[in-house]
Amino acid sequence: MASHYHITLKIRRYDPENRRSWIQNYHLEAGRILRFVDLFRKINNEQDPTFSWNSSCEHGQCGTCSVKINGKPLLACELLVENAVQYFNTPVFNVEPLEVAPVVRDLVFDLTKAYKRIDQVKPYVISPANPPSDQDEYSISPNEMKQYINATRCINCFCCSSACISSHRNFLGPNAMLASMIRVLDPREKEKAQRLKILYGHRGVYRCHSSRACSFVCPKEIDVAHFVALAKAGRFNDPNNE
Amino acid sequence: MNNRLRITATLHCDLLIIGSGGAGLRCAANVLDKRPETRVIALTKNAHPQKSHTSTAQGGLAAVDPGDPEDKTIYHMFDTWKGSDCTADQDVIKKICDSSWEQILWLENRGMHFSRNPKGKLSKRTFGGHTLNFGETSAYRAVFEADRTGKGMMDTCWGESLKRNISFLNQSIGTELLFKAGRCVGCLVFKLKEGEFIRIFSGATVLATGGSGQVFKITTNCRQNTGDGPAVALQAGLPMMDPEAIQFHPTGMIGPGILASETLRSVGGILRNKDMEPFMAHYAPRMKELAPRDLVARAIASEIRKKRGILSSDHKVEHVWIDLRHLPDAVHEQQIPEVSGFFKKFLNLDPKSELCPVHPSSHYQMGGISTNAFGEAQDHLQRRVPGLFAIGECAAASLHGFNRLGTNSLLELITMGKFVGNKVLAYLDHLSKEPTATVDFISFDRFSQYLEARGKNKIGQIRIDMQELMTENVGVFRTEEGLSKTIDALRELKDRADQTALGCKSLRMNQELLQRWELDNLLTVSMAISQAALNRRESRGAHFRDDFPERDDAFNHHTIVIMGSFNKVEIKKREIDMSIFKAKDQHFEKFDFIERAY
Amino acid sequence: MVKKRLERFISHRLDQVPIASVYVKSRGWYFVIAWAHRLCGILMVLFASVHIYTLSFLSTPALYDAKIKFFGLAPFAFLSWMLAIPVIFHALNGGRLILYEMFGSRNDNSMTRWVFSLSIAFVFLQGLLMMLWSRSVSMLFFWLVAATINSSLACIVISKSWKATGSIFWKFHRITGSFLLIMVPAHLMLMHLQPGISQEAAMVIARIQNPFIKWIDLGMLFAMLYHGGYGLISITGDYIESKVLQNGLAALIFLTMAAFGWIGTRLAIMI
Repeated sequence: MASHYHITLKIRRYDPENRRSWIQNYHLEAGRILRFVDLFRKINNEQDPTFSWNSSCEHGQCGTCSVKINGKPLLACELLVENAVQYFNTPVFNVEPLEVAPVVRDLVFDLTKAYKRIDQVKPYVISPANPPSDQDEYSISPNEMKQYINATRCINCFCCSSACISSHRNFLGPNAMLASMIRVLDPREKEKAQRLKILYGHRGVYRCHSSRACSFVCPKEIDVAHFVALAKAGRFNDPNNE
Repeated sequence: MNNRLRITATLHCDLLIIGSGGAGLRCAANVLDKRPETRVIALTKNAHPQKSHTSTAQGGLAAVDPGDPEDKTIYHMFDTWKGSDCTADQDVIKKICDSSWEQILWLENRGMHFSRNPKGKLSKRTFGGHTLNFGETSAYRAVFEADRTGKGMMDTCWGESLKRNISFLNQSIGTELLFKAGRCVGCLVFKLKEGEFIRIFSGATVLATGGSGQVFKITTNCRQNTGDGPAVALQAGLPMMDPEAIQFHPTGMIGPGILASETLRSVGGILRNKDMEPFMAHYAPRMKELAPRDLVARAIASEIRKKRGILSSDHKVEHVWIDLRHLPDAVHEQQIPEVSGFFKKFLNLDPKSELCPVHPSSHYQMGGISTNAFGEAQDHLQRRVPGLFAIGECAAASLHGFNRLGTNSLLELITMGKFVGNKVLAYLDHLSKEPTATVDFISFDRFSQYLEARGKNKIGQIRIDMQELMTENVGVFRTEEGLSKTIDALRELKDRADQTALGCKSLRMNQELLQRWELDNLLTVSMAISQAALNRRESRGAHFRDDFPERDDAFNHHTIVIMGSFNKVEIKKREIDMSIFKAKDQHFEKFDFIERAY
Repeated sequence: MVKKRLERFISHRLDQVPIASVYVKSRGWYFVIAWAHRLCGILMVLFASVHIYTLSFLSTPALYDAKIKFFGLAPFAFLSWMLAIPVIFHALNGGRLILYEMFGSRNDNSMTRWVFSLSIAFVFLQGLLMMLWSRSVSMLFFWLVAATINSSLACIVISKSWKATGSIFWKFHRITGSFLLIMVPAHLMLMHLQPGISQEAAMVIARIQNPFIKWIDLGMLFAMLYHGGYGLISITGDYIESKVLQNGLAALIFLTMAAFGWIGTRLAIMI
C-alpha cells in the first residue's frame, strides 16, 4: 500500500452572507493514516483558512464531524485516507454537509435544529420507578440490560438520519427512535404510555421501512434498524396493554 | 471600531452557565431540581452540549460504596492526597469523597447505564493509584459504564437539564465577564452562528468551560478545549491557580494523541520499549503499569530520551509500545472494545496481534480558576467574588493538587456541580433585583482589532508554533532555560497574532474569527503555565523540573497567577488546606506531607 | 465453495450496476432493495387500476372482448410476463420484511438470497408456463390450495400482531400483505397465462360465477386496495412536508381506492 496519496477534495461550500453555494476543489498530499479531519485542518493551515467545518473530540466519541463523503454519511474523524481510497476506489472525494438541518456555513450544519427531534422523544427518564430503597441503586440484571445497552452507545451524529429512506422532515429519525427505545426497555422508567404515543405517532416508527441504511452507516456499528423493528413488533411489556 | 458589531439583545436570567459539559449541567440540574422556576441559560461553544469533552471520558468514577466491606472513604481521601503529591486541599478532598456515593446513586437513579455485576448491582473496577488500607493493595473503587463512562454521565446531566426546561445557547462563546461594583452580573456573549453579540445579565454566573489541552501539540482533549474560561477570568483580573500542574496521559495514541485509556493497563496491558523490555519494573517496582499517571508518563518519556523509543515514520514521533497481544479475546471484546477498536480505526492495526504505539499526551489541567471549597471564585487575596462560580476542569478548588488520580475528574464534575448548585441557590436568595443595563465592556474593541488587523501571519501556523514550543519545553520535562526561552517566544507569538489579517471578514459562523479568539486564550493560558512553571523550582506531581528533580517543602503551597496584561504576570501563593491533618482524627498522620512513592 | 464463488461473482457484478452501485456504497444493499420494493409497489397499484378498469367492461361482454384482444399482441404479452418481476419480488421481499419486523428474524442475508432465488425461479416458471400451459387442470383445486396456504399465513401474522402494541392500520397493512403474498402470484400464474387469447368474456364470467372464486376475488380486491392505498399514503407521509397537502393526497388516495372497490364489488355482484 502507498505511503502517500494525492487527494482531491471537492467540497461543497456555502456562504451565508450572500447565500451562495459552490463546489471548491482542494488538492492535497496526504499520509496514509491521516484522517479526514486532519485533511480539513491541513486545508485551513496551508491553503484556505476560511473553509469551515465542525468537529469536537475527533475520535468518534461525540458525533460532531459528520459529513457526506461520496454520498455516504460518516464521521470525518474516523475516515483514514488509506481506507477511503480503498473503499471508494478513487482519490477524488465529494464532501458535503449532512442535509438533516439547514447549513450554517460550508460543512457546518445546524445541529441544534437537528437535535430538536431528539428532544421530542424525551431522552431521559420521565418518571423514575422507585428504587429498592432510598440509599440504593436499582438492580438490573446484565441480561436485561443486554436488550438495550447497544442503543445507549448512540452519539447522535445524525448519519443514520441522513441515510434514511424517509425524509428527516417527517421522521424523527432512527437515532430518536433509539433514544426512545432505550427508555421503553429501561426498567427504571415508569412512564411508558407517553413514550409509546410518540413512538407510534405520525413521525414515529412507521416512517421506517427497514431499508437498514441506518445500520449500514452507523459509525458506532449499532444495528439501529433492529431496535426500530423491535418497536414495530411491539412485543415489550407495556403496562397499559395488560 | 468595526461598525458591524452590535448587541442585538439583552437577556435576563437567574443563573448563567458558561460551558455545558458534565459539571455545568450537573449544577443546572441540581438548581432546577430544587427550584424549578429558576431561569437557567447554559452556553456552549460546541454544536450541542452532548458534544462536550465530558462525553469522551472512558474510565470510570471513583466512589467508595458504603456497602463495601473492605473499602473506606478515608482510603480514598488518602489516595487522592497522596496522588496529588500533597498539594490538594484537604477540605475539598473530604467534601468530595464524603458525598461521592450519593452522587453515583443520583446518576444511577436518573438513568445512567452503569455496567452491572451478575447480581444486577453496580460493578466496580480498579484504577491506578486507588488502594485499600493506605497503599496496601489495589482497590476496586471505580464504577463505570463500559468504556464510555463520561458519555453516560453527560447524557444523564443533559437529559436532566433538558427535562427541567433549561435554555441552551449552542455555538456561543462568553467573551467577557460583566462586573458591577465588584459583583459579577453576567457575561457578554457572541453567538457564532448568527454573528451577533448579546448581553446576558444573570444573578449568578458559573464558569464551566473545561480544559486547555490544545495548548499542546499532542493532546487527548477536544478541539474546543482552548482554555477559554481561565483566559476570560485572567482577563477580568482574577487569578489562576496552579496552572503549571498539567497531567500528561502516559498512553496517548501516536498521531492525534487520542486517549488510550488507563483501562488498557488495568486489564493487563504491558509497556515495552524498543528492545521489548517491560520497562515499568525499573520505575515502579510494585505497581508497575498501574502506577500513577505522571510516573508512567515520565517513565515513557525517559525511555524515549534514552533512545529506547521507536520512531513512527508516519507521524515523525517517537513512541513506546503497549502490548495487548497476550490478553484473551474476551478481554478485548468485553472490557476494552472501544479503546482496542481505536487502534484499528485510527491506525489500521489489530491490538490482538500487533503492538500498539503510544506516547504521553497532554490530558488534564489540574489547575484553573481559583475557587474555594464551594466553587466560589476568589480574587488573589482569597476573597469571594460575589456572583461568580467556577467548576470542572477550568476551575481549581483544588481536589487534584499536582496530579489527578484516574476517575477522580468525573467525580469532581458531578460533586462540585452539585455543591455549586446549592451555593448558587443560597446566593440567589439574597439577591434582590435585576441589575441595571449599564456595564462597560471591551469585547468590541478586541473583535474589531481581530477583524481589522493587517499582516500576513496565519492563525493556524502560530497555533502550531505555540503547540510545538509548549510541548517541547513545558511538557513532561521542564528546565529553567527552556521555560525562559518559551516565555520570550510566547511574547513574539502574541505580536505575530496581532498582525494577522483574517481571510474571512464575515461575522456569521466565521471559524477563523473564533480561532483567532481561541488563539488569544491559548497564548494567555500558555503564558500563565510557563510563568508558574518557571517560578516553581522543584518537582511536584505532574510538574517535573529537570533542574530541580525533588519535591521541596519550601514550595508547599499553591501557585496563584494574576495577569495585569500579557507581559505583566504576577505570582503569589495560596496556602494548602490541611484540615484533615489538623483535625487530629484517626489516621491523621497519613495526611501530612508524605512521600509519594508507589 | 462453488456457492461462495458464485455469490462473489454476482455481488461483484451487482456492485457495478450504475446508479444503484452509488447507493450500495453509501447506504447499503437493503436501501436499494427498499427502493425497489417501493417502485414495484407503485407499479402494481398502477397495473391493478388498469386491470380493474378493463375488467369493468365485462358488464358488456362484446366490448370487453374487443378491448382484451388488444392485450394479446406480442409486446403486451411480453409486458404481461414481465409483470411477474414486480409481483413476485414485492411479495417475497414483503414476506422478508414481515419476518424481520414482526417475527424478529434478523438473518436478513439468507432471507434476501431466498427472495432473489425464488423470484428468479418464479419468473422463469411463469414464462415457461405461459408457453406450455394447457387449461385442462381444475382451477378450483389450485385456488383451494393457494387460498388455504395463504390464509393460514395470514392467520399467523394476525395472531402475532394481535396483542402487540402499535397502530392497527399498520398491522392491517402487514396482514393484508401476508394474505396477498401467495394469492397474487398464484392469480398471476393461473389467470394471466395466455393474455387475450382464451380470456373471452364468457370464460371469465363463468369463472367468476363460481361462488368460491367470487369470494376469493373480492377478498383479494379489498386486501389489494387497502395494501396499495396504505402504501401510497405512507410514501406521501415520508416525503411531503405540508400537512394539508399530505391529508389532501391521503383523501384522494382513499377515494380512488374506494371507487375501485365499488367498481369491483358491483362487477362481482352483477355477474
